[in-house]
Amino acid sequence: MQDDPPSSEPGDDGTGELTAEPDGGVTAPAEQLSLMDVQHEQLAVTERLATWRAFAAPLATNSGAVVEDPELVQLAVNILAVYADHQSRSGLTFAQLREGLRRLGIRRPSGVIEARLEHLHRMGFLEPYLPKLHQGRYIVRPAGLAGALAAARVTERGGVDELILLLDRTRSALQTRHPDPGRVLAHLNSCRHALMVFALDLHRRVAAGTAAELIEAGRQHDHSSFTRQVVELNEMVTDKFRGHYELEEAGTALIEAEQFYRSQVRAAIGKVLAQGGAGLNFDVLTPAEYEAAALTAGVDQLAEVGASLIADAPGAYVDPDALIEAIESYQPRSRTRVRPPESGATLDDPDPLATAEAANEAARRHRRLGLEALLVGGQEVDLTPHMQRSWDATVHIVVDALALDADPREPFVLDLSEWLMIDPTTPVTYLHPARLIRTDLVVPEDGFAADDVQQLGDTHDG
Amino acid sequence: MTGKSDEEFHALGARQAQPADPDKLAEDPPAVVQSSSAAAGALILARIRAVGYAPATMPTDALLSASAAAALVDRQLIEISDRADTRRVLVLGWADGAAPDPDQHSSAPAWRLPAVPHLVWAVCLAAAWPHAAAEPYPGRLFRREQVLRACIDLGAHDRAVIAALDRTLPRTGLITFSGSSGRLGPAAAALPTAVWSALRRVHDRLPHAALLNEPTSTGQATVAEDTTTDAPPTARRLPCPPAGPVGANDTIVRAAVTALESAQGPVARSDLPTLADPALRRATENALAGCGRALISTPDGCWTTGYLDDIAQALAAEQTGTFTSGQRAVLALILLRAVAIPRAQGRHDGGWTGADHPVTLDELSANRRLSRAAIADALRGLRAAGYVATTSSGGYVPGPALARLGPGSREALWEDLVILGRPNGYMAEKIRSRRRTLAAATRNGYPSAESAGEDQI
Repeated sequence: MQDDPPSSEPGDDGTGELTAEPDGGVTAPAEQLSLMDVQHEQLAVTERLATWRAFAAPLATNSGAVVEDPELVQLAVNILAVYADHQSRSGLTFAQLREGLRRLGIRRPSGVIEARLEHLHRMGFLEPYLPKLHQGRYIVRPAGLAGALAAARVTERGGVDELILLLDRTRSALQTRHPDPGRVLAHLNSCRHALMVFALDLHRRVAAGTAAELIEAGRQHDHSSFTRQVVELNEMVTDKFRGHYELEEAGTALIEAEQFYRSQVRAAIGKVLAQGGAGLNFDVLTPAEYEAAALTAGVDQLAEVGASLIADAPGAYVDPDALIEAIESYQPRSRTRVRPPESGATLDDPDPLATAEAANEAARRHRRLGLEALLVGGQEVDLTPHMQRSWDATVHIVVDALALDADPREPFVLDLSEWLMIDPTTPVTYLHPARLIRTDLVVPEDGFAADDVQQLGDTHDG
Repeated sequence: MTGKSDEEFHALGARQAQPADPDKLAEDPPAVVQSSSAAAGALILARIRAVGYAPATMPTDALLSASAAAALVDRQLIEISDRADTRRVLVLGWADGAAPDPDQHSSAPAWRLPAVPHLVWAVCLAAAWPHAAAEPYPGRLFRREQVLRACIDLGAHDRAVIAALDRTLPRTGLITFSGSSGRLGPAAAALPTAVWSALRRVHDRLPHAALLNEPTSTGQATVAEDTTTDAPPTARRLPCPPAGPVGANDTIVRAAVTALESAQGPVARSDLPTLADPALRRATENALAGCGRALISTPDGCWTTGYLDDIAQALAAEQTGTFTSGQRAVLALILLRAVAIPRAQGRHDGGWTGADHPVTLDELSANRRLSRAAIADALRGLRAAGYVATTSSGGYVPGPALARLGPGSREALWEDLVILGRPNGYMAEKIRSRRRTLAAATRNGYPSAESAGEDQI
């Protein structure tokens, strides 16, 4: 049984565990419960109340003596925690107890807590620290501690722990140097009575119990060590009290009771197994047991799971279209870098270099035509008279002649004189006389032109 | 193969494979494998389902039964050589003109190869099948290094190519390796004829050029040159019973079986409305039972198929298609954390499958008895077998193959986990006792596979 109140809900992290608040309180993270969870919770509450009623029946004077709210039982356990956490060594007042419960996250109304504390005081669970009237400090009576813990344990284990305790006490009684036959006999009978009670309860559950009851029974009684313990007890009785027929008979009766109990446990487990696999009833064990197996089980233990599982995967579907698509999505990778192909010239995207070259060619052609016009078909012309007409003409002629003279493809040489000619009557009042010579014409036989060109060329280079 | 000629085989099979009469079948008892030869035939087909192939040296009656049962669901047994050329094995191909339609049911798509394995298999295919006019299977041998280098030259990542060459494609059976030389695998022999016809049409688009670029040192012959003579005998289709008149119901049953067997997971009921008809459902169950399979309704209302329980027990007994101890250990950890603990805590209402509680690698490796490398290796095998799936967040969840478990296998798996959780309780004792009793009482007469123990995944 968990120590959280029944109304607490599984945590958001899926573990269902409680989380601690910064102030030390304990709260359950909110999670929407499903209908199944609610039913399970209600069933658990009902089962707990029924267990407590049976547990308290020997002590109660009437059927209404047991609480109807499981949280009130948990409140007593929380009071134990308050005393353990508090520093006071001389008892606590009701106010200190209320404050301690609040720090533990108990959110019950103060009236309910006050009434419960008064009740625990009246019943002797809380007794005054000093035997004086009207003193307000209390401590817990140890019997109350045992009752609170037993109330929690009896719902968790269904009372099986008492059976284990009885077996242990019987063994202890037998292991003393001089065992008391009367005491041993009483213990043996107590063990047999307990075993029969559990066996009959299991018999009822097998006959008419619900699946949840059977699973609960299987979880509580699945201790195969009982048989070994009972057999050991019987052997000890035989060793210690050989010839003591009453004790030997009690030992035999205990073995028979254990056999009956074991048969009922197996019947309950068999019924659980019959429907457990189909329903995936993993709650036949506690989550902690699975968790422990996941953490600590060895490879050999884990490998026992699924030994009969067979691979059952369909084959891969080969799609020719997808195959070709995969091939075409990958292209051979070249080890050398290759220039991308030149894009073709289009009207929308003219080549700027070709345009510039065409413009240069047109300008060169215009210059050549202009200078050829000045030559008038001759091989040589004096440019000075043409230059003296205007400054614009001078600039055009000099620039064109210099450009063509510098172009190795053009057959023109400009001979620009170094001396300055000044004439105030002309638009261009001063200039250097210049001559233009064409070098690609046929050389006359008298050789004048060739010598002249050679001379002009030397002059130009110099 | 022993004994009988093809004609005799043919005639025997014709007597066994009769067209199903749905009206009569609906009145029959539930599908069971009744005769011993039928059971043996079903076991042959189940072995092929589990590991991709089965030994061909089986009694003729068993082969007849297997062939007849396969023919009822548009399948045909094909006899080929195993990867070591030491024996003949059977694979399950498709009848002429039959092929699965992966796009027929949107709720259960077939498993397709990813891009890189597709490319790698295309290169393997180009190496093994250089001439379109030749028979593609078994084809020529090819070297692993040759395919690896060609794929990398094509631009594929080397690690992805290595994973495809060493794991993905061999697991699917599309290629097999013996040392460093490979060849087309048994799954390639089982491809439908329609797929081979389509591949022949696009043969010139296979990456032959990538293989031609392979550098060869002086005096070193290419694989294609030195392996032309050692090609094993070609595949041989076992004769199947003559095709009788196929009615509309037979077509529906075959389509349903093909869809269920090819799908990765359960098929939605809305995709197979014909199974709502009791007669057609019974006919489907009977057709599946002949193949050692059962029709299974999942908790979420879908249809799937799985091994018949007795067939699964026989396969487990001969260790065919079972898992290694490491794989079973990792599967146990996943089932504990994804199913057992959530159900014990009341946080899980589903069955064996479901992605609500994914398990991380860190959670698995919290068990110090298993190394992370061993867990990762086991997870690869379990994923390939369909027993583990991954979520988009990277967690591991029980895979769709768990939905294919029959009632007996489901119960056995639950019992295994209960024993693991409390190994010394009465419950574990009773489970062990019951299993011992069952094992002693049920001595089945299934012939065992020749290669018990070597067919582990």
